[in-house]
Amino acid sequence: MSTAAAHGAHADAHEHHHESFIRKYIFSTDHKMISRQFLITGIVMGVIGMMMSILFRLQLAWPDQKFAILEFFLGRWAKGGVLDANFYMALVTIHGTIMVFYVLTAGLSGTFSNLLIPLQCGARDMASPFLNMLSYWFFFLSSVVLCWSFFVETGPASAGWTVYPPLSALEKAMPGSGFGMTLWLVAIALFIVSALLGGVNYISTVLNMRTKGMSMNRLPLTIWAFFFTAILGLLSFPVLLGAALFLIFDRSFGTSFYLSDIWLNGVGALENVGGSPILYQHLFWFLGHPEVYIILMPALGITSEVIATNARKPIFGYTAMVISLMGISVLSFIVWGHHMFITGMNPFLGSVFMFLTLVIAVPSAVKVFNYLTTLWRGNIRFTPAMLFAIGLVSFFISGGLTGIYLGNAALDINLHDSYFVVAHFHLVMGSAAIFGMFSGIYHWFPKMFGRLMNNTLGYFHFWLTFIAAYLVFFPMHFMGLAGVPRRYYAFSVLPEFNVWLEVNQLITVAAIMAGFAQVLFLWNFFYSIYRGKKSGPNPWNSNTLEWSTPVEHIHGNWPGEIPTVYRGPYEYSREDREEDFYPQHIPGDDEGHGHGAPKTKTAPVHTEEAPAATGGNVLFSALKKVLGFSPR
Amino acid sequence: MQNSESRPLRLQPKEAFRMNPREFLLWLLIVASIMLFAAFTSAYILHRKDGLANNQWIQFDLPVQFTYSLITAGVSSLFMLLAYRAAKNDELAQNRIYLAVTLILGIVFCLLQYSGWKYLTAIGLPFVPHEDMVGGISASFLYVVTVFHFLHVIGGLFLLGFSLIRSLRLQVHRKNLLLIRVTNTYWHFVGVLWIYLFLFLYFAR
Repeated sequence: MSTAAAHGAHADAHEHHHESFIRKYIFSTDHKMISRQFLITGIVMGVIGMMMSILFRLQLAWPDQKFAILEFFLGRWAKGGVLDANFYMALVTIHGTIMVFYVLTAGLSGTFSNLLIPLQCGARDMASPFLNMLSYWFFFLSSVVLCWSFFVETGPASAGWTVYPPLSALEKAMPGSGFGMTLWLVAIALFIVSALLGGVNYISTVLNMRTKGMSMNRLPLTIWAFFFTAILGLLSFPVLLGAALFLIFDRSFGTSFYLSDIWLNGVGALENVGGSPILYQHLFWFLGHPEVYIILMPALGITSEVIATNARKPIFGYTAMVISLMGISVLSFIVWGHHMFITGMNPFLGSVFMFLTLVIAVPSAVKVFNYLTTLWRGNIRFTPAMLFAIGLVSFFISGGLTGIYLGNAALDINLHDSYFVVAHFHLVMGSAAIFGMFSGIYHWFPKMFGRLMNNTLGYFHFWLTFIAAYLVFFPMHFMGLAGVPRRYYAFSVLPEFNVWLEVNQLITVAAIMAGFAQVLFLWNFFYSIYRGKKSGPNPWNSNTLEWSTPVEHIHGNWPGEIPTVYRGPYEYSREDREEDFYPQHIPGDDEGHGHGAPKTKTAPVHTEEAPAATGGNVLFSALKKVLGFSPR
Repeated sequence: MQNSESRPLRLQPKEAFRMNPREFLLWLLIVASIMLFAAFTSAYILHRKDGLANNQWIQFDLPVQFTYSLITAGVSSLFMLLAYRAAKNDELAQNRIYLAVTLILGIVFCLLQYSGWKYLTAIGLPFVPHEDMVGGISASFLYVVTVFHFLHVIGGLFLLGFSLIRSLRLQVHRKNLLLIRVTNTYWHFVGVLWIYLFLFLYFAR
């Protein structure tokens, strides 16, 4: 049977395939439904994580104030309306865990990798739809287990999101080291299984299931970003699993992988000998640092797509963007030591880690440069998605710059565990990634739900969140430089830090404002699912393949044969076209451009440049031509 | 100007499929397993260095059962290879026999591992060191590494059993090789992994 006939038969089978409610909405193997499941679960976890942050921000801003409402909702965790110190630690821990793993890893990558990899590569579904479904349900189970820890006697894990031993290894170290910590470990183990099942599917689909003509250098940058993200996860999550297993053995069986003799008042408090808590840090940060890019790279990929589409210009330096993603991915594995400068590391080793860390600035700067040059003199459409994408670029710059300070061992030793670090990673990783996620939601909402989100609410959402995020995190730099340590419950008895009380109040007000902005988003999101304006098949006049599918979802994505791809994804504003876009699947009358037919090789072929007007554009076009930076 | 017939390669797009996507999934899961064992053995090296420096590392010989299991792993890999070749050549009877032998050798491997752990416990090297035992962490590491390898072997036994059942139903042949190819790849992986772990534990005592 020919490939075309096979595809057609396959598509027919999908079209006429009727599924029960449970198969369609609960245990679905359709990547589009799984993507929506990841998104909704991620949003729910995001709301929980954000509410936690507002709770501990209230404590930091008004440490002696009694909020009766807190006792009503939190019971013994807020006796007399004041947050319990142990519960404060639990809130900080679980907020970090939820935001890093459940929202910005699964919520972001799970949603958009699932939605876009088959659609933009031109595949009916993932390599293994069943494993894909399992990936979601492991994630869901993991979320339930983590939330369950709020309902146990001793409360959730409280050792910080990094759960360093010995706090995490000794069940009696503090209330949050008890059963809540065990649940944290179980939740993370389940999460790792989910991440691995998803990751192997993403990689296999990208490499093996692309449609005709979709050579690697015609892949949208979103796919490149998801691809590298999945590779990072595949290589780093098993190491975290190893770290968690050693921790479980220490906690539950009495081994000494991380525990050594601890003396209290001259008395040996532990029977363990020979363990090393530093070993945990090595294993944890071997995942922990790539995790930063597991979070960030999908957002960068989404931004590339949204910026090119809404600037109506080809992305500047496609090849450079791919190489940058690759460079960031490789470097992310050899810089974990910069999280451990204060562990007594050999200074020479520290210098090596410092050098490698600073080198990451190069591919990061290339990406920023290319975003800005793509925007330069573009015919920009300021959709909410575009605003969030530009917001990401802003946070990537402002947060990335402080990374250069923290990557320097001599400075980091002073700034370690201060609010400077909190400011840095919340800008470059937290805010940037969440803005990328919002950008993706606004942009691909029509593809997910067949309707458009409300633009006005989107603009309010953007500006409130953007301003609030800077108001929250920017002042923290100054607090950190003044030495204010993170994770402290209250500074009332520390006059040198208590001078920052008013700044803390400003930050808390801004955090509440950010929370309010998310209510607008939630309203817009859920209302638009049912009542939003109906979308056409390609509302943004985009080039990529997902917009060639019908608005109504069908299992198998395309009703007939999967389209063939004839060119790269960023052919916007070509002089020889009446329209300012040129979808990848439209057969070309561009023989003169040398890329009318599906390509058989991945080697780039010369094409005309996108229209270059004057001044800077001429210079950039010349650069592009010289360096060969253009997708084909 | 060239017409389309003069350059058929250009107009005939290349099929994207390079490997069965599901088979490729197995390779990726193998990579994940390699990273897990890389974490274990890296942690072992770090601990050993500090332990030896501080006299907190017990050095001991590997049980002889582990040597036997090394040989068993090698022989079973050989039979797996023969089973795969037999399937490729449509020699169904041989395929069944070789698969069964591989399965039996896999079970023998597991029994030998269990026997090795029992021996270690008997000579005073349990998974959880005794209170007065300084340096017992070296044994703890050995248990972690070998038990997790053992769990991988159990997974392989399930695959082998499944392949054998399919073979008995005449469903493994030249035109239906995916399952046995996956089983073959995985079984060789756990075999090679054991060779690595054995040599690692032998030389880095």
